[in-house]
Amino acid sequence: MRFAPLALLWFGLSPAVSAQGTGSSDRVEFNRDIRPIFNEKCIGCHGGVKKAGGVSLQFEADIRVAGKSGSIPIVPGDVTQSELIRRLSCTDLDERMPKEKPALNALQIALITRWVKEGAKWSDHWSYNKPMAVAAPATQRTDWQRSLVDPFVLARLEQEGLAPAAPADKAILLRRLSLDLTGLPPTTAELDAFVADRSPTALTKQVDRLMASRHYGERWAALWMDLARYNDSQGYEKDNNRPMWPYRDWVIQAFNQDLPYDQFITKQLAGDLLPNATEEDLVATAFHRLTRTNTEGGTDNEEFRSYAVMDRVTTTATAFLGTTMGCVQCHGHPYDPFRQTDYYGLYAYFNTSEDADRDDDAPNLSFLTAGQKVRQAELKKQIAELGANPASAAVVKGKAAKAAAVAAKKDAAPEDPKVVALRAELDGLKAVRLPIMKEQADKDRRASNVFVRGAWNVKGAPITPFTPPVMGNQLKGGTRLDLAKWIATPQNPLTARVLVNNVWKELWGQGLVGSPDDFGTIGEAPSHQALLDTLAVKFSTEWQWSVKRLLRELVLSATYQQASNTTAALRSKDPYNRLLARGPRTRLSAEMIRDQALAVSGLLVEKQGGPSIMPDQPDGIWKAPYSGQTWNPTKGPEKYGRTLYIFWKRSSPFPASMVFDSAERDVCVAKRLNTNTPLHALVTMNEPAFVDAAKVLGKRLAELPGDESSKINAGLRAVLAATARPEELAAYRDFLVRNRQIYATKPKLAQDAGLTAEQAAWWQVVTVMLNSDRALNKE
Amino acid sequence: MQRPDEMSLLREAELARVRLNTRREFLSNSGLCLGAMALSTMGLQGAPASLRRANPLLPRPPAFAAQAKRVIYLHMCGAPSQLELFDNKPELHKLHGKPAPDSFIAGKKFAFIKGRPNVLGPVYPFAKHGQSGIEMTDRIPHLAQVADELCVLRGMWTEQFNHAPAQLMAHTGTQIAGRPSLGAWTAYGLGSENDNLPGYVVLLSGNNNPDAGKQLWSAGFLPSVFQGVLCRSAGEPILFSNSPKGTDTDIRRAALDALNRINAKEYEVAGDPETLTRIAQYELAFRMQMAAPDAMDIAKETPATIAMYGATPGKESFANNCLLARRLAERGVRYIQLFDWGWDSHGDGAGSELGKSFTAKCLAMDKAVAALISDLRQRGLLEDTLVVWGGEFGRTPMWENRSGATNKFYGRDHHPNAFSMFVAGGGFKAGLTYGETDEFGYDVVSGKTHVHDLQATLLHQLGFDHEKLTYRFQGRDFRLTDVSGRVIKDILA
Repeated sequence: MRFAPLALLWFGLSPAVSAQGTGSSDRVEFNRDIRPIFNEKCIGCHGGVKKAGGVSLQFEADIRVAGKSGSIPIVPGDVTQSELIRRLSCTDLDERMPKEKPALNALQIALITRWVKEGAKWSDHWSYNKPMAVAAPATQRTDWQRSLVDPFVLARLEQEGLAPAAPADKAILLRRLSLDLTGLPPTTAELDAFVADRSPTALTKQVDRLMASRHYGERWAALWMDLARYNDSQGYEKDNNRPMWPYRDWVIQAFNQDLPYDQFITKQLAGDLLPNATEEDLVATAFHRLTRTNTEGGTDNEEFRSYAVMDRVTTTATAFLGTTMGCVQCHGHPYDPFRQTDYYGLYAYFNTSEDADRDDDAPNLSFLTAGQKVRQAELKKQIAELGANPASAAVVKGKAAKAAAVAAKKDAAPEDPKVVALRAELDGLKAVRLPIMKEQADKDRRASNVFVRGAWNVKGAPITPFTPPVMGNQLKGGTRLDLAKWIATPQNPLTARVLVNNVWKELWGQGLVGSPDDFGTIGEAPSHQALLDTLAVKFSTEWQWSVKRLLRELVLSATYQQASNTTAALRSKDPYNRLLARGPRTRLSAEMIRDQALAVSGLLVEKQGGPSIMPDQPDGIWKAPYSGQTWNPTKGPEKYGRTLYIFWKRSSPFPASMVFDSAERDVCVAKRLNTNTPLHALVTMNEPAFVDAAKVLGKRLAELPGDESSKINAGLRAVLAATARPEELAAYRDFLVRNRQIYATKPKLAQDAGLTAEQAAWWQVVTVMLNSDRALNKE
Repeated sequence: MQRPDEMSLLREAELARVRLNTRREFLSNSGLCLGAMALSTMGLQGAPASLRRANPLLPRPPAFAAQAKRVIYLHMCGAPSQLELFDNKPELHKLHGKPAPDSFIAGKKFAFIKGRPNVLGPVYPFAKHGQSGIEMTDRIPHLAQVADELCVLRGMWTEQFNHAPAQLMAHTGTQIAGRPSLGAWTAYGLGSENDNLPGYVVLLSGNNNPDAGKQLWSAGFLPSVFQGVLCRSAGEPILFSNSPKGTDTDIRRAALDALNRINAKEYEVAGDPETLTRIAQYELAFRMQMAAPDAMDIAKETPATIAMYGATPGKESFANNCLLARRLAERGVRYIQLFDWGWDSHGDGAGSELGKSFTAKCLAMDKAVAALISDLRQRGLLEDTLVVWGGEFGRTPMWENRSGATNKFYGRDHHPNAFSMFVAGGGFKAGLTYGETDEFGYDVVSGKTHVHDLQATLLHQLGFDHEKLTYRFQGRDFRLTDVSGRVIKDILA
C-alpha cells in the first residue's frame, strides 16, 4: 500500500508540487505523516490547551504517560497495548475518538498504526533543528545555473519534468530589479544604458548601482516597518501623535550601510545595554517602544505596561523567529511545542525596562536632526568663544537633566547679551522626544510571574528569564542583551531562516516558507528546504549576516531572471509558482504603486528622512475620540515624498495605502494579504497624488516633439520600461483620438483641470498607462 | 446612465483563450455543486458558458431552490449580553450578589474572571411579546413590537472566548485568519444581482473597527473579487469615488475601453488570471462611481422613514447603516455586513457596563433594527432576505471581578457556552424561540446550535449544501463550516 504524504496534502503544497515519492518502502515520518493528523484531529482536546482525560499528544513525553483511564496512549512497537489505536477504531461511540466528531479515515488510522508498529519515532519539527548547508544537487542541465540558488531550483524542476522559463527581456528585468532593490522604476536613461551594455557584467553593475542608491534603504525599510509595527501615534482611544521617525531613519540607514543583521537585531532589542552605547544604538531601541501607550483617563498603567511587554514578546517571536507566541500568553501552545511558561520566560527579559505606560512615553531620548546638531555645535562654539559655558542643553531628559538645569541656574551670573541670544537659540533647538528602552536600576527591578490564563493581574508562579527549550542552545537567566545575542547567532535554528525567507518573499511575492510568520507545526512546509537552509547557513556564517550579499545571490540567480509569462499547462501544475519555473509576477506594494507614479512623472521629492509627511487625504478619516489632533496636509512639494514617509496613525492609517493592502501596523505583520478590488481603480484614478502625477507626465508628453506613436512609446518607456505592443499602441492611439473629440466638444472640461485640451487628452493617456495591469505589477 | 459594453469587454478577455485553470477559476473547477450544474444552467440561458465564466460576479442560480436571496448580517462587536436581552433567567436573581457555585467555575476558563466571582442577576425585567410570547427585556421595546417576525436562537455556542478569534469563527468558520468569510462564500456561490454595486458591502459604526479587522470580510483563498467592500455613510460613499476635475463619464468610459483592450492583451501574453479579475474590478469601479452616490444617499428617504430608523443623514451611525442596508438590499446587493462596535460590557469602566452605556447602545440598535425589519416587510423584501443579528459569543452569569474584587459597574465576562442570536425573514420560522439554557443561563440544555450550525442553515436557505459549497485550495476542499455544522431544520418554516 502506498501512503500519501498527508502532511503535505493538508498543510503544505498542492499535491502536484508535493509528491516527493513516498513509496511504500519509506518509513512513516512523524512530522510529515502523523503530526498533521494529530494537529488537525486530536490536539484541540489533547494538546497544550486542554488535556482531556489527562491525555496530550503534544510532546513526546506526553504520549507515554497513562491518562485518567489508566491506559497508555502509545506504546512504541506495540499496537495492541496502545490505547490511541484502540480508541481510533473502536465501535463504541462513547469511547471512539475524536469524540463526537467524524472518525479518522481508514488511511489515517492505517498510517498511525504503522507509525506505532515502526516504533512511534518522534521527531522535532524541522524548523527547530539547526539548518545545515547542503551540497548543490546534481542536475541534468548544467548550463543554466548562475548562483547558489539555481541548482536547488533546477533539480526540483527536473524532478517534476519541467524546464525553466526563458530569460526575461532586459528592460523588464531592469524594472523588476529596480523595484525590488529600490522600490522605484528605472529612469529612461538607466534603461538605455543597461540595454546598450552588452558586457557580461552588465547586470552586476546594475545591482551594484542600485544597492548603492540611498533608495535601497527606503525600499527595504518598508519591509521592516511592518515587522516593527512602525507608526507615528500612541494607539488606543486618543491615539495621540508620537514622532518615531528617528527610528525609521535609523532603519533606512542600517539597510543602506548594510549593517550586519545580527547587529541590526542586537541594537534594536538591546542597544541601550551595549557597552558604550551610542545615540544611534539608543535610537534603534525605539523598535520596542512602538508598542501602544494608553493615555485614557483612569486606566491602570501597570495593565497597559504589561500589554506592551506582551507585544514585545510576540513581536520578537514573529519578526525574528517566525514563531507564533500570542496564544501561549494564556495557555500552553495549542499545537506547537511551547509551554505557557516559555512565554513568560521570554516575558521576563522584557519586563524590567523603565517605561511604564506613561503619557509622555518616558524614558525618552532628546533627539536632534543632523542639521540641528550642526547648528548646536556652532552655537556652543560661539558661546564658548565669548567665554561662557555652553553646557545647558541637556541630551537626556529626566531627573538628571533637571538637576543640571538647576545647577546651571545657580552659578548663573549676568551674561553678555550676545551669549543670552545665542543661548536662547541653543535652548530653542527643538528636539524630538523619542521613546527608547532603558533598563531599570537593580533596586527597582520588577519581579516576573506567570500570568494565570494570561490575565496581567492574576500572578502565578514567579519566573526568571529563559528561552524556549525547543529552540535549542537554551539561555537561562541573563539580560535583554543576552537574549538579543541568543537570537542573533548562527546557532539559533530560526533567525537566519526567517530573514532569508522574508527577503525571498519580497522578491517572489511569497516565501520559500509560505507562512513567514509561522515556521511552526501548522505553518506551511518549505517548498525548497535544502535551499532555504543552505542560504540561511551562508548568510549567518560566510556572508556575515550581510543582507546585501544575500540579495545579490538571489537577484543574480537564473531563477530570478526568468521571464514571468506562463502557460496554461504550467499554471495548472503550479498555480502559485512554488516550483519557480517562471519569474515572479506580483502586484506592486502600496508603497511602490504610489512611488512609481510620482517617480515616472518627476514629482517624487528626494526627501531624506525627518518628520512624517501628510499628503492630501479625504476629510473625516481621523476620528479618534477625545483627541484634538488633525491631519494637516503637507504644503509644497514635500507632499510628494515617498510613501514610506507618510504619517501613520494607528487608528486611521493612510487610506490609499490601506486599499492596496498595507499592513495596519498596530501589531507585527510578516505577510500582507494581497487583494484585487474595485477600490484599487478608484485610488489609482482619483487619489490626488495619482491625478497630479498623471497630469504632469501627460503635459510633458503633449509637449514632446515627434509623432503620436513615439510619444506614446516615450510614456510607456517611462511607466513600464517597455515599448508598446502593436495592440497596445493601437488602443492608446484610439483613446487619444477619442479624448481629443471629447475635450474639443467640451472646452470647459479641460479648463477645469487647468489644462489645454491637448494636455488633457495626454493626461488621460497617462492615467491609463498608470492603471494598466503591467504598471501595477512587477513583470 | 450609460451601460458599459460588458460583453465586448468579456469577449476581449475571453479572446485571450487561455483556459482559466487555477485557483482563480470560478466554476468549472470548483465546488461540486457549483460545477457542472451551474454551468449548464447558464448555458441554457443563452450566453456561452465560456463567456460567463469570465465574469465571476454575474448572478448564478444556487444549487437548489433557495428561500433567501440576500443577507443582512448585523454583528454587535464585543458580544451583547443575552441575559439582558433574550435569555430570561429568574433563578439567577436568587443568586445575585452571592458567590458563584462550584459548577460555574470548577475547571472553567475565563478571559478576566479570577477565583470565585459573585453572580450577577439579570439587570433588566423581561416580558413576553407578540402573539408568540418571545421574551425580551425592556431595553429593546421596538424589537418587542416585531417579536413575531423573529426566530430567536437561545442555544448558540462557540469555542472561542476572545473577540477577534470568535468574530473570525462567526464569519469565516474558523478562528484562524485568512479563510473566506460567509459573505465571500455567498458572493462566490450566487454572484451579484447588481452590476453597479459590489456584491458584498461592509458598513462600520461605533467609532472602532471590529477586533478582527478586515479579515472578517476577506475572500481568503477565494478569488479576491468576492471580498467585502467597505462603504461609508458620511463623506464620499466609497473613498476616492469622485473623479477629478476635468474628467467626466465619457472620458472615463473611453479610458476603460482602452484599458480593457490593453489588459486583455496583457492577459494573453502573461496569462495571469488576476488580470481578468482586474478587468472586472475596473468595470465595477466605474459603475460604482455612478451608482453609489445615489444608493448611499439616505437623505433621499422620506422624513418619516429617516425618523423610524433614528437615522441622521451625513453622520456615521449604526442607524444610518441599517437604512443603507435596506437601500442596498433593494438594489440587489447580495450580502450586507454591518459591524457595530461597543458591546463589550465587562463593567470595568463607565463606557463598558450593563447600565448606562449598554442602554445607550440598545437604544440606538433597537430602533434601527426593528425599523429595518418592518421596512423590509412593508416592501416585500423580508421573505427572501435573511436578517441575522448577534454577537461573537455570550456573557457570563457571573459578575466580572477582573481586579480580584467585583467590578464597580454591572458587567459580565466573555462566555462561549451560551448566547442568543436572532434571524428574521429568509424562510426562518417567525415568532419562534429555539433552544434553552439551564436555569442560570450557563450552558445550553436543548436546541444547541453551534456557530457552524447556523452557518450551515444560512447557506441552506441561500440554496447551498454547506458540505458541497467548497473550494479546492492547497490540495484540500475547504468549506465554510470546516468539518462540522448541520442544518437545523426545526427553525425553518
